[in-house]
Amino acid sequence: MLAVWLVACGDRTEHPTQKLVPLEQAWRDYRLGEYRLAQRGFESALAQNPHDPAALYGLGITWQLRRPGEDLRKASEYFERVVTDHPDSDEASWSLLALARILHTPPADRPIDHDAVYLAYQRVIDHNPDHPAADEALMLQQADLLTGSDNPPAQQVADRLNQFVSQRPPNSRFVSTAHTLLTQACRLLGQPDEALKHALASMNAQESLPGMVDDTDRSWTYWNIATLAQYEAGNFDTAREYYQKLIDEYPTDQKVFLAKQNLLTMARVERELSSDARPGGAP
Amino acid sequence: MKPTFLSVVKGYVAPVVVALTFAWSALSIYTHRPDKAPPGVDITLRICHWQLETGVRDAFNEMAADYQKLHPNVRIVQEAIPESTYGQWITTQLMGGVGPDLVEVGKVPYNVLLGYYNRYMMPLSTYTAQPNPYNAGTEFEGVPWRKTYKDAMRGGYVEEVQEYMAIPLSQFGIRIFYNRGLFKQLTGMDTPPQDFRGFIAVCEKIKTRRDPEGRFYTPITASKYHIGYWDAYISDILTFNTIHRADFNRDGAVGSDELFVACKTGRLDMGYEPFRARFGVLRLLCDQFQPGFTGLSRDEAVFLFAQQKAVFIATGTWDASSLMEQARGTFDVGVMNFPAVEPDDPEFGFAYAGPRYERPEGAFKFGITRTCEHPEVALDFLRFLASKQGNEKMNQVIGWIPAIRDTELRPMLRAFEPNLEGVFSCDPFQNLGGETFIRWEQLMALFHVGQITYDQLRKQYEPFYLTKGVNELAENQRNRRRGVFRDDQFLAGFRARAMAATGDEREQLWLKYRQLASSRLVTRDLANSRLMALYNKGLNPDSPGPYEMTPELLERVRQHLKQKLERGGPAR
Repeated sequence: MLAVWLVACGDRTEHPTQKLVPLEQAWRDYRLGEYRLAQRGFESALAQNPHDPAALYGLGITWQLRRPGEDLRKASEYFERVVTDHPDSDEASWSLLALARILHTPPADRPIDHDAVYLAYQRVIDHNPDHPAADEALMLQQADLLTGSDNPPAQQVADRLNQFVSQRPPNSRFVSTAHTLLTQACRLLGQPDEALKHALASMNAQESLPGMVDDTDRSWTYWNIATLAQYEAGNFDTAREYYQKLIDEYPTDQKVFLAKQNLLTMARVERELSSDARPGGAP
Repeated sequence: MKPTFLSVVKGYVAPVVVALTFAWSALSIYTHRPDKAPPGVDITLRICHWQLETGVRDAFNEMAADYQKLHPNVRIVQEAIPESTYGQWITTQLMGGVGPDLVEVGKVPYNVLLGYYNRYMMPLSTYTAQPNPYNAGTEFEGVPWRKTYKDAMRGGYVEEVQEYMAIPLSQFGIRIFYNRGLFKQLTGMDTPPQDFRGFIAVCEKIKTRRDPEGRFYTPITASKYHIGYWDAYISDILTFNTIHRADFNRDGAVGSDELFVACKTGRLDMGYEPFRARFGVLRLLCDQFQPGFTGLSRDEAVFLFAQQKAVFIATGTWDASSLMEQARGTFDVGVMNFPAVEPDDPEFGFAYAGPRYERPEGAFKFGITRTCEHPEVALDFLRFLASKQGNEKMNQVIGWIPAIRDTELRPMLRAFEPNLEGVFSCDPFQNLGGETFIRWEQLMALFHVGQITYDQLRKQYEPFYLTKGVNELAENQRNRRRGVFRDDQFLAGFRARAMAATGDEREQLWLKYRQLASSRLVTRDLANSRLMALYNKGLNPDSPGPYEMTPELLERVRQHLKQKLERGGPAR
């Protein structure tokens, strides 16, 4: 009687995931951190269609990124299967990117083989240069060049990314990111005016969609441009403009106090320098 | 042998207890069912929280009654769970699929909370971008809901989930409460001084006074819980100018890694005068607390205040109503801002950089569970509570600060309005790693009770920090790498969503994906790599700071000015 009563009292709310198709369900489980369920879901999708690249790719991702219990060898096998058996599929490019990420993110106590990482990203780019994964791979490849050593090949990065942005329409995918990397490269090269130019271009090249709510927090962008202009390029007009934007658009931001201090500093410095700066004045 | 009555009873005790318990539970369910759905009520919403402070439950009851006047078919039932058990309680409720419809989020470790957001809570971003219908007829009519918040609803946004997951209903602030009558009686003054020196002087005076039983009064009642407020609001902000020497990535703050690099490369040491100023001020403050304060709990410190044995206590708005309630009919409670070291202070004034910055962030946050049978009604109730009028009324009843802009406060709470422009502490010596953290805490505890001076603290800590810090910085770097997989993990799931989507949603998800990939993977190490390059190459301790004007930079400025003047632009 008690058992009947308890069953009758039980929660009859339908689980919101019950009606999903296997692949969707598997990805949902993956996102919830239910990796065993995700694995089973992808395996069942693969059982239904043994040549489904999406299921193979899902299994690769699950084995690569589940914690605990990751198996990078198994993950790599699934990714390589996608690339070999379905080279023209969307998943092939993403699988190659995942293989590059495996090389780029070894356990923390092991060094990163930056040469191998470079080649792995290059493989993504060469496989299908027009695929979004190729653009992402290029950004990750160039970022690794900039950050992977104490003496990065900044000029090489600048050349490659300048080529990338010159071939793309502004506001297209990853152009803004490329300008951000170019800002860093130019700072390393001791070219503050160029760095500032790219920082501004990065902000202006942000992608947007008509009708999409723009909730981007630009306080960091404004701050970065302003401090770069003030303390590296010596371009006080630009610094002033972006400090003011920060103050006006984000009046409760923590950096407003410093921004106002910096505005005062610039006014003082300009006063001190203005007599020298007049044509014919002291150099 | 013939069974006796007693043996028969003994033999049936267990089934009888089970049967009686069953009957009792059945009866309870039967009698409570009408409560769950009284006549005319179609929808019952359960809301749970851990705020047992005075006023919170009354406020929910009152707001629920107001809401029911507008929506007679809806009934709100609140469940107030003690703070100490809330985490376990909400965990079992959510895991069992019987969670309340609206839950106050928190009281579980942050990583667990992130899991709960993903599994059990509804994302609310779509609604926060829409106007709140309960703001019709006010200045917020047609304004996106989140823009009606003092903090633009930043408190409800969860970076890791990339969604607004909770709706904040209040703001908290921290100030000094004082016993008005006792203060006047002991000092002869009406209001406490707002300058640090004046404040310490009255504390010293209070220390010399005795109660009718001959015991000395305590100027400030504190505990291990309270000491952080005094330090953060008065002394620690004197280290702000460290930013000019150690904010290598110019992000407007000093990280524990930046401070270590500055110290390790000889650019800074613990003899830096602003650090000394912090500890000089802290010493003077600690001398005003009751003996043995570091061993006391928060409640014990409050008790001393309620007993009128101490004049000042620092705490937050969440305690305001309770303190008032305890003092009712006995003494008047006043609220004051923290006294500040003034720029003309002969000993510490050189370190003054400005008043303390207080981030206006919404708290007392509620989310909607996925098991909620009427999420649209739950959302509507949250809109009601977070409308201009509703939020004002609710917080008036509780005695807290509303989260919505341009709302009225209780007069007592005006002193809690956050200061939105100012400075913050820039000496995170304790945050580099486990060993240095423990050592710092041990030495700080000794400093607090006056067993060691700052010089002794420095002598013991600095060599330890510079030695152990090398490994801890390296571990931090490894932790950065360890954390990357979480971003890869998250982005792979997000990418799969974008790949499966169609139409406008697909475009939006891909765009969002690229923004996330850029910030979380591509550019994540740019600033860190520059810092580590400085560290590895060895920084010249005399090289210009991140906010200093070098002669080369001044020459660039001069050239820009010259060009501007030649173009006919104004010289400022």
